[in-house]
Amino acid sequence: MFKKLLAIAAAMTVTACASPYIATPYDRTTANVTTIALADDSLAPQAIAYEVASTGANFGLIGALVDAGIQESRKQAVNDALGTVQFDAETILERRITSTLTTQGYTVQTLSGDREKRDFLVSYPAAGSDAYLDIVVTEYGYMSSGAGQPFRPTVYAKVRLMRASDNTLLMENMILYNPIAPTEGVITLAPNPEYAFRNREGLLEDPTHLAAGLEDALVRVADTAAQLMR
Amino acid sequence: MNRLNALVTLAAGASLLAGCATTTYAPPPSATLDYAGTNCAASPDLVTAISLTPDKERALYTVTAPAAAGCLTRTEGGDTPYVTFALPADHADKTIIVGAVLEPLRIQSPAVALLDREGRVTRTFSAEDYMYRGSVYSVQFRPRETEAYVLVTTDPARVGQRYDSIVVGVMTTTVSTGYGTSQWRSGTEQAQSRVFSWEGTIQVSVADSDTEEEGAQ
Repeated sequence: MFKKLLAIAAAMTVTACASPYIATPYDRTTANVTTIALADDSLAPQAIAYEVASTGANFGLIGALVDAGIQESRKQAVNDALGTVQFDAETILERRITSTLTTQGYTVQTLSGDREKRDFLVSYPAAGSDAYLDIVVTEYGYMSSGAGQPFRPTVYAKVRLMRASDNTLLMENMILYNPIAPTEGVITLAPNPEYAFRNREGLLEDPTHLAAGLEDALVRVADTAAQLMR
Repeated sequence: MNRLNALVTLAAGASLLAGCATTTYAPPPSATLDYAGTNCAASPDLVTAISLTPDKERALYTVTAPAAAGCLTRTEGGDTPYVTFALPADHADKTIIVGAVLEPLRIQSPAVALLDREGRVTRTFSAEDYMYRGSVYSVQFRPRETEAYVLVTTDPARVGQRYDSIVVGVMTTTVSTGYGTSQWRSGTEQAQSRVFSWEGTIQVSVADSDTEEEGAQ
């Protein structure tokens, strides 16, 4: 998972010496878009609950195997806890971006259909809209940077807007909420300090607060994605 | 001989002083919360605009400059420091990020405007358009045909406001075991706090999506 998070960060980013991520900014004046079709299945079905530099992972293969079990058990427990409060990440994200875009003057319809993989769609179903908005949340949930550090909400998302008539890319960007790596050129959102959990027990103590932290992060990502289309 | 003695004494004294000398580091500049400009102009000086055209085609060209290259009297009233940049003539394949660098204690409060060749404002950005892109609080855009300059002034509305953030990371330590070395990874977390300022460092990044085209810069 650590390698995955770093790979995601590296794919979108850049350290000081490498090439930075170059987004495609949106120019509403010239884009001539008023109706948008929002692609479905934006998020993975389960949240992560991951400790990046865990103690176990420092102890070779045996330690890594033990660590994988601990990480998976924590993830399952967190998702069970979120289930007790009917937490629905996808509905939160899609409703929020739809309402914000509507406020900004767009007419938004939501498409339906699952993704084969956690990436932008290759093609879009006919929708009769000016453009397709594709938001892909590659990871979301809780992350601790390492042993002794608190778990905080994290969201890794990428977003793009494609013109329906000729498949022209109108906007593409990356939004990282509480990322583990520095990311030049990528929009970075600092975590809300209200949602910090000291360990697994802390995460599971109050499922309502646990869900509220994720909702807060997803709403900020949705608002940021909508702001890119002002 | 007296002269030689004096030289030896001087050299010995200098070496002793050098031995005692400690390197001093200047503390990072703190936020400038007041600004009183002098000789403020009614319009920006475009002749001294910093060029954003690199000496040769580059995928990424970054320029930094102090925000206070000059002083401008704002049409809304009051004075502001400003700095201007000249956009590349071949702008069609360029994506530009303009903003204030996140310094240790401060962030200049940027107000970015695009100007045409005559210095008339063609585009401004609202407060919601500014975002933290890595270490730069910035806007991102592609220049339009008529746009020739970037003007960065200070937005007084943000000056004095605090930006608090938490930055997480992973640190790797190499440990010697006697039989070899192993690496130990541990998590880090740092609370940071910065204040928006009248002055600071401006950074402009010009990304060129087509560095192979002929005769273009």
